Formats: sequence, structure tokens, C-alpha cells
Amino acid sequence: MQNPQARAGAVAAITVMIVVAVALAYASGSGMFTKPAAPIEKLGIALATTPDAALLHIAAAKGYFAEEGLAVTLTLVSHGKVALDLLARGQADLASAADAPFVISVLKGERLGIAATVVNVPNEMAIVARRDRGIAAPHDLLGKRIGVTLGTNGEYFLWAFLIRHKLAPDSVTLVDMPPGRMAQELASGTIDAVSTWEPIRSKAHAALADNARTFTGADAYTATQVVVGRSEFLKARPGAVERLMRALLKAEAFNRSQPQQALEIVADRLKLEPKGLLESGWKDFQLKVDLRQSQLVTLEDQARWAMARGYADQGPVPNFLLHLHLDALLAVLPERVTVVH
Amino acid sequence: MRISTKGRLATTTALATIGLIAGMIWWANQEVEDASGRRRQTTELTRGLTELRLVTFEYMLHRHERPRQQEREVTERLARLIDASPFSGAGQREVLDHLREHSAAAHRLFEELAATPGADGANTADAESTRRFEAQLSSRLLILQQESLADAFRLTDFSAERINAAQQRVVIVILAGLALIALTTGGAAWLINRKVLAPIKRLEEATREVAAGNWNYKLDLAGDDEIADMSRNFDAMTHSLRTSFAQIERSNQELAALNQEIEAFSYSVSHDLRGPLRSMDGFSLALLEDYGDKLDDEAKDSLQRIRAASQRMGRLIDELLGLSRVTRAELKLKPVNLSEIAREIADTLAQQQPPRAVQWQIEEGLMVHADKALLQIAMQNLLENAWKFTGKVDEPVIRVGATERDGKQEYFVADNGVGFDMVYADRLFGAFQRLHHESEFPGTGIGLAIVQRVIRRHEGTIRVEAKPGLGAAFFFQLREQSHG
Repeated sequence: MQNPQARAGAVAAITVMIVVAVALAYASGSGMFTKPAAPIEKLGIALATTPDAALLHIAAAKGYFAEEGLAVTLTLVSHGKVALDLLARGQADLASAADAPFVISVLKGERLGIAATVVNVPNEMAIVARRDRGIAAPHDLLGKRIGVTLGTNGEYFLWAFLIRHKLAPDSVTLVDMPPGRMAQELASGTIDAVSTWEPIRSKAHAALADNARTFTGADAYTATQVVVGRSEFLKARPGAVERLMRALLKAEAFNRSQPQQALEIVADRLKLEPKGLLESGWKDFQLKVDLRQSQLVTLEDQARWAMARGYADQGPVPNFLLHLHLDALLAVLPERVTVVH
Repeated sequence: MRISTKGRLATTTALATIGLIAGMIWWANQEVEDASGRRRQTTELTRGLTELRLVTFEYMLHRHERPRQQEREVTERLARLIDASPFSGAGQREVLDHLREHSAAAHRLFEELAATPGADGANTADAESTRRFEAQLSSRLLILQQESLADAFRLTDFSAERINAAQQRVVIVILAGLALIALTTGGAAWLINRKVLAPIKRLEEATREVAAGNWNYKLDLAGDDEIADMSRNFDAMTHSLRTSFAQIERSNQELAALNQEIEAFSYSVSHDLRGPLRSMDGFSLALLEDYGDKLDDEAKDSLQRIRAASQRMGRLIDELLGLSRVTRAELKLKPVNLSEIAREIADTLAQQQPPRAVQWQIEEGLMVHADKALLQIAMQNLLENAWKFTGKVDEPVIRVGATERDGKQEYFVADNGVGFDMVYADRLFGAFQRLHHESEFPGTGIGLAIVQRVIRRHEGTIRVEAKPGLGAAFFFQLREQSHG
């Protein structure tokens, strides 16, 4: 090329082209171009009308399931144990429940797996007691009649609370009742206390008003909600479970960025006043999708409790690692899986 | 816009671009360094948590004071590390709050465990309660410490993400900087080509055209920059030159016509004057021959005088005709041997006056590029003058040679004759100008005028150096032959 100006122009043009090509390669490598949509998958999920299932409620309300290509049918139940029963009967693909009933189901031989934990609440569980029955401190519970829903984390919390205060678990009388009756039974005086979760706990407290004495036990037990499925299902439908994880992570991000709106959505779906939900310790609800190593310790403690309580025969503690379905969350957001694997 | 303004603008833009890129790279580098600092701190935090876990297990196994003391130290160190943590994002602060709470709770549980008496000495029921209590505390401690470690790893992830983001920003900044530089360079090259180099190329073409004699070439470049100014000045210059040359051409033509008229006039005057002169001389001679015996001496003398005057006037007319011919003759330039011409003239003069013993010093091989006939006329006049003005010298010497003056070849004819005062030197080359009386040295006074005209026709110069009683030397240069 004879003309130096033309040569300089050509060099400049080539440089620009190289820069643009590198930028495009960089952009494509960083995932700026989206993949084509996959066909819609159907999922049936049974979940409790409790704040513990908040992420599932938010995902449904915000349309995140649909965004991720899921057609989700939600079946609302009073508490997680009922949701697990629906799962056991094949009436749901997945269930949202507390860890204690999940452990009992596993001990009973159910082939279940946890896809993810969706909430941790250190102070949700509580014992609400009647002051007029002389209950002012934990040891005052000895010999009292305490209402629980057997086989739930309400019962497990009472056990852990008593041990935390060096009290024998069999020194109290357990009265089995559904969560919906607890506030009424406590107010009527047929029982001296209840051990339960939100929003029943707040209702019980409100029913007693000044006569209420509430005990929490963050050092004894951190309430945990898990999304559970049959092991075969979780293995057979990995794509659907991964989409569910993405939708739940979107709900988690929404709660982090728009906490007030998230509160209003949950209150609306649980038919509660936002103020009431706030008063029931909503701020302590750590809405987060993960699978933690520490959870295995709790599951094993709960297994020992369940065997001690006769929900299963005495024997070795099961290997709960086999009941954690890590694949979906590992595929979507691996840093959320801290289980040693 | 002026080129100087454009230059300043381009320099400022380039410097600003470089400054911007440097600033962005510095900023991105600061980000990387900051993120690296955070990662170092989270590594410290993770190490502390691992140590805490180790001493907790040691204490659970052996219940010694040493691990208990170490647990306190590590807990305090962790608290300081958490408080000094530079993380400021909402997510990071949340993790730090968890760490702080878990660390405090774990220490509280550890102290409870340490304060719990062993179950060995208690009754069965108490022992079972204590065993369960210790088991629960141990589980809770494990859970808290595991979750703290997970939180520390999350902080490490935050740091890694920050480093990655900062590194990506560096890459983007460098790519953007390269693109900016490439665009600026391309734009500047295009602008320089369009606004500077192309007009300069036209200017160069214009100078070539004008050098080739095309005075009508017009640049006519539009714009308000220096090159447009130069173009306008160039067009004004060619216009002015065109006008001047036209004037010179007209003057030359007028001068040539005038010269031709003068030459024709002087030729006709000279030629026409010869008739009456010949009649005057002829009739005077006839009177002397036919009526000489009847005329007295005074009459005869008068007739002789008339004849002498007529003949002198005839010679003058011949000289004038010679001068005219020198002016009008066509130049036929070729190599001419000046030494040979000088030698031939010297021989002729010596033959005419054999008694005179003149010493001739003629340099051999003097070659010039000239019209031979005209050069012969000039040398004839110069050498005759030298011969004439050395006539009263005892040992006359006449020299012909060449010397160098100001890097040019200069030829000379020198003698040791009577010379003259240089005060009168500027009169010397005028026609009919004489520095000596005719009775002393005969002559018409037109010879040097002819010499000067011959030299001028050769586009040369002539000068003289002389001193009274010491002689004179005439130096002349001819236009050097072009080798092209």
C-alpha cells in the first residue's frame, strides 16, 4: 500500500474491528446472550399457610414460577406435616414442611429428599404459657399440660427447650391438638401452655393478653422450612427442580430488595395484617435458599428425639446425607450448598 | 478552523483520553487492591474460626484449661476482626451480623458447657438430663461454628466476586480505551488527510505547474485555515507574477524595437555619411593633382587638412559600423582557443612593427565557450591597446592569462605601459572616450566600448585595474557553459 494515510486508516479500522470482536467474544462468554426457552413443566406443591413458606408464596404471587417455565399448582394446608402426608399419598410432587416431620417420615421409611431449605428462624418457635397457672420461668412448666401438634417441630421444640433448661422431657404432659385449636384451648384453660409456631404463637399470646408468658429458645432450636420431594421424583425431574430453585432465588432477591412489598404479599396470602405479621417477628425470618452442613446435625438430633419419642424404633441414626438432594441447587447456585459432598 | 487550533484540540483530546484511561485503570486497580485486602481479612477470619473449632473439640474431649483459654483468645480475636471488617454492602453487613451473633452465642454455649459439672456423680435421672444437655450444647456449638464458617466462606466469595468484577472492569476499560484511541487515530488520520495532506498535495502540484511555466494555474482552495491562506497568497503571487512578466515582455519588445531602430539609424547614418566624405577626399585629391601647380602652399595645406579630416571621419564611421555589427551579429557559441587567438594577433602586431621588442607572455591552453569572431574582435582591441600604450616603455611586456576570482574563471590582458588613474576608470568603456591625447597615442576611443559590448553579449563582465606609469590589466569573465 503506497499511501501512508490509507495505511494508517486501514490499521485504525483493523484495530477497531479487533476491539469489537474481542468485546463481542467477551460479552458472549459472560452470558449476555440468553438461551431459547424450554417447554413448560408442571409441578404440584403442597405448602402450609405459615410465614415459613414465604418464599414459595412470594414466587407464586410475583409469577416467578411462570417466568421459569413452571406451571405450579399450590395446595395450601394448615401445617407442614399435612403437606408431607399429601406428598406421601402422591397428591403433590413436592411439599414445604418443617424439618422435624420430615425426619419422622424418613424414619418411617419414606424415600424423601430435601431439595432446599427456604427459611431459618431462630426465635419463631415458642412456648406460650398461662401466668395464672404459676408459670413464670421454664422450670415452672414441670408437671403442666402443654398443647402440641404431635410429630411436628412444635413438639420437637418443647423437647429441646426442656433439655436446654436441664428439665426432663417426660416431666410435662403433652396434649395433642391441631394448630388451629391451640389458642382457643389455651384461653379456655384446658391446657397450661402451648408449644407452637407463627402465626399460632401470636394468636395464642393475643388470646391470653397480659396473662401470657412466652418462652423462646434460639439456643435450643432454629426453626427450618425445607422443600421436600420423593427421591425418585427429584432424580427424574431435575430440570423442573432447577427451575423451582431459580424461582425461589428470585423470590429471595425480591424480598431482599423490596422487603415491605414482600411482607405485604405474604400477609395477603396468609390472610394476616402486615402489622400483625411484623409483630410476630417477621424481621427474624431469614428467607434464604440453601443446603447447609449444619442442618445435618439438627436432622440427626431430631432423629434421636423421634426415636426417643417412639415415632420410630430405636436404632442407628440414618445417614441424612442420602436425603439431601444437592444436584438442583448445585446446578443453579453452587455456593449455596455448604454440605460436605 | 485553523490548523494550529485543530492541532491544539487534537493534543488536548489525546491527553484527556490518556488521562481518562489512566484514571479509570487507577480506579480499577484500587478496586482490585481493596478487594484483595478484604480477601486477606476473610482468610484471617476463616483461620480464626477453624482454630476455634479445633480448640472447642479439644475441650470437649479432655476438658482441660488450656483449650478453654485458647477459645477465649480466639473469640476475642474474631470479635476484633469482625468489628474491623471493611465490608459495607447490605449483604455483607448481614453476614457480618450473623458472624457476630453466632460467635457470641457459641462463646456463651461454650462457657455453659465449661460450667456444667460432669454427669458422673449425679443420680440416673440427673445424669440423663445432663447428658442430653451436654449433647444439645455440643450440637448447637457445632451448628453455630459450621454456620460461621459458611458465613466466612460467603465473605470470601464476596471478595472473589469483587476482585473478578474489578478485573473485568480493567479489561473493559482497556478495551474501551483501545477503541477510543483507534477511533481518535482513525478520525485524526482522516481529518489530516482531508484537511492538510490533500491541500498540500494540490499546493505541490501548483508549484510544479508554475515551475514548468504555467503562470495561469490557479489553486483556489476554500477554507479559513493556514493552507487556505497560503493558497490565496499563492494565487495572488502568480497573479502578480503574470502582471509583472507581461510588463517585462512589453518593455522588452519595446526595447528590441527601439534598438533595432537605433541600429538601423546608426547604420544608415554611417553608410550614408561615407558618400560625401569620399567626395570631399576625392575632390580634394583631384584639386591637388589637377591644380597643385596653381595653388600656393597654404591652399595645399588646407586641402591636405580636408583630406586628413575626411579620412579620420571615415575611420570613425568604420568603427561605428563595427560597433553596430558587434551588437547585431548573431552569436555562434562554441569552444574557442583564446591562447591561439592571442598568439595570432601578437604575431600580426610584431610583423607590422618589427623594431619593437615586446615580450609576450601568453598562457597556453586557454579555452572558452564563445563566438569566435566576436572574441577575436575583443582580443584585437585589447591587445592593440596594450601594444599601443607600451610603445614608450623600455622593456614592454604584454601578458594574456587566466586567474580565479570568487570561484569563477577570469581572463586577463595586462601590460606594463603608461597606465592611467583609476579615477577615470568608469569613463573608459564609453564610445569615443579617451584618457590620452590623440597626438600622444592615436586612436578613435571606441575600441574598449566594442570590447565591453562583446563581453556583455556573452553575458559576461569586464573590469580594469591600472596605475599611472605602471600599466593596466583588463579582466573579463564569460558566462560559464551550462552542462545540462
